[in-house]
Amino acid sequence: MNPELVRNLWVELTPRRILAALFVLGSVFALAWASMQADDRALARAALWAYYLIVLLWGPRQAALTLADEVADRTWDTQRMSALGPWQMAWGKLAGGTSFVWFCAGIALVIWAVMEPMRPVELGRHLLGGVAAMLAAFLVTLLQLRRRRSRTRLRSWTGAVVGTLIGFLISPVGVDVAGTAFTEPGLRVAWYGMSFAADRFVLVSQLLFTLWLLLGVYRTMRAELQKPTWPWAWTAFTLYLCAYVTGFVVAADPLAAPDSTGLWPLATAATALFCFYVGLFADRKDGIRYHWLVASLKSGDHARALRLTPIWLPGLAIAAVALGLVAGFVRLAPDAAYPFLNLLHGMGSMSADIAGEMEEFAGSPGRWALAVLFFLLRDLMIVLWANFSPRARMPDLAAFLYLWVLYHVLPSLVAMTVGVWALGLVLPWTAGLGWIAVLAPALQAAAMGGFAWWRWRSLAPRQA
Amino acid sequence: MAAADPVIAVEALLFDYPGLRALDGVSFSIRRGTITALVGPNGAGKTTLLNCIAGLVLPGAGRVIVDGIDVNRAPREAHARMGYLADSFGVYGELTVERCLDYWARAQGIATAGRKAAVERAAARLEIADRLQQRAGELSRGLRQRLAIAQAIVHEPAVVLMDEPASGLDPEARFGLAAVLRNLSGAGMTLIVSSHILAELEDYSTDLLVLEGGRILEHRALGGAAGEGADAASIRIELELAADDGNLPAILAAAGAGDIRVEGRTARFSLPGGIGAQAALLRRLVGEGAPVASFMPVRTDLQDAYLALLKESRKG
Repeated sequence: MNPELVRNLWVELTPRRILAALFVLGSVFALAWASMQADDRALARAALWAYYLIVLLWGPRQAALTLADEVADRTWDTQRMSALGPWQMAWGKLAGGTSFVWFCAGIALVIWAVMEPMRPVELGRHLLGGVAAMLAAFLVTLLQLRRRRSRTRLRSWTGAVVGTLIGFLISPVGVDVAGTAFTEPGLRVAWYGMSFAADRFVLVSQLLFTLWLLLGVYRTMRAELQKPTWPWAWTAFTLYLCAYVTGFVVAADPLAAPDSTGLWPLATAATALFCFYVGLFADRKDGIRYHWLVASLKSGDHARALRLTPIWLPGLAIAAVALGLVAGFVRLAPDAAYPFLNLLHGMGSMSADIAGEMEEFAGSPGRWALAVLFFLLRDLMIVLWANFSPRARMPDLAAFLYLWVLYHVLPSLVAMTVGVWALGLVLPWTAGLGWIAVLAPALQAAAMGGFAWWRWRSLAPRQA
Repeated sequence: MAAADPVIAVEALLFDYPGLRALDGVSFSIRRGTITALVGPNGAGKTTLLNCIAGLVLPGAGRVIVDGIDVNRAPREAHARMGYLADSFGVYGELTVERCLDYWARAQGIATAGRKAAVERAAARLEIADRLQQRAGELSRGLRQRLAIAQAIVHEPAVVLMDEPASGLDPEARFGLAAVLRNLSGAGMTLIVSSHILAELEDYSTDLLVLEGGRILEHRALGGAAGEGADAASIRIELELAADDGNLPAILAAAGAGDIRVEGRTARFSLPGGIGAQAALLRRLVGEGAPVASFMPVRTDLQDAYLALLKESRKG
């Protein structure tokens, strides 16, 4: 049996705790049943609420603590010295550390299943929601640990909050709150032009996303245990997510739905950009690591260079290819630009003038793609510049704030003071300025690149 | 210092912190069965070096081979051959001592059949067999230290790394620790012990590895200790006479002694050849009528040697 699971079970599932849980939850449900005049359906709903409170609030917190407590108690480095493999370590901690949560949640779920007519697909979705919440909390906490140089303390609340959010989104609670009502019988989903029963499609999607989370936990734990780890998993996930999202905008019959044909490269590019930013913020941006990466490349040690490769690098390459795809697609079929313009009109974010300028996009898609790419590089350099500061306390938060100002505050300011024609200097979707709209982000990227380079050089090691 | 059968081989190790090179091309090898005192001023890179050997961090460049395994390529396999007591270690306070040891025996892959014996052996070695049913969180600092060492050696590793194991211990516990380390070495384990308390290291170390500014200042076997090869090395001897004897330097030189320093009735010199040569010299002195009051090998004063080394290095 997995030693890490056994150790956690020794601590978590003691007879005293089991009896206490049975007593407390049994009493609460008995009281609920009596106060609801023995209404089985009402009790089932209450049990499901209790299940979600347990797995979405307590579960992620507990999953994050399984790691944060090891760091606080200074047992983590000793654990890393054991012969336990990453898979054993990950699932032993996750299953064992949350075993008491699952025991309590299990009681609630059993009551729900007994009181409601049993639907295996729905039961599967409820279970996956809880599992995904705890996996996400654990993964985020592990990533936080990987990003820290000082390992004396590790906050658990970030992981817990993200876990709760992911669990909420993946579980039927989130799906139903979003108003999509995917559980309605007879509802169908179109994906790559094929029609699927909505409830089963959602279940399979949830299952696949949960498996991706599991793979993420495994790969991150592998790196944490210092096993040689290359960044292929995140690259594969980026490609998967691009393909998954694109499936929703690819029509079965392009002739029947011509407006949707131009959207799929855009959906691919938008997803690739999203993944690039997530990877950029999630990754460890330690300046020393980049020095070692350069040294490994110079010395021809490619295995070490791959271990040191940041996950944003393949993300950047995929984003560049996806942007090229958009440009190429629009050049080959200029009509394909119109769904994009319609979409922007539909979002109500454009004035008629801007819309007119945007129509130039159809004539110069390559310019637009280059502008987006340079803004992407500028943002990358801002994030690295913030992280290369030797005294930065929360560099990613600072970088996020800078980007928020650059994309939300500055454009409004430029529009009000200079005029809307100048928006192309600060935003990547205005083609009214011609090549200036490319030159402006290129100069910004070069300037930020210079600042980041200067800071990075100052991190170069000196003799002790 | 190269070794014929090194259990640890470190090659051109490099490690950086922002703006600081913590290890700068460190290379050395450690002989099997030795106890190496790893010393150096604060910030010399001792903990970083131990973390690199333990495979807890990836170095910028270089290789570490432990018992034939490349630590950076196969860390888990290397860990099965290593034990590590970190400077700031922790134990699972909610578990009993027996469960702590049982968990580590499982985590190091010891099969069910041998697990109980491994736990009992480790507890006996660290003299905590009478505490097996006590919660780890209730133990004193000294006993927790012993439990942590027992956890580190429960799988009988070839190599044990210890970072400041004596810090925070009272004098009695420190004395006990020295005995424990000698015991582990006697059981065939190779130890690297980092410490600031040089007087204690001197009690049990066979080798000295001095680190400063991320570089090795010195790596050698300690004379006077029980290290391999110590017999063949020159031993420093202090001789005291009951009365002045002008012939003493000549007698010592004729017997092969070197670096002879005579002050009044006391002489200090180096003598090669081990205890046989010492016995022969003593016979000769008595035979030639020298009024010998005391004759004893002088242990290397680690602290003096270390301070002298640092002084010389900083002058250079």
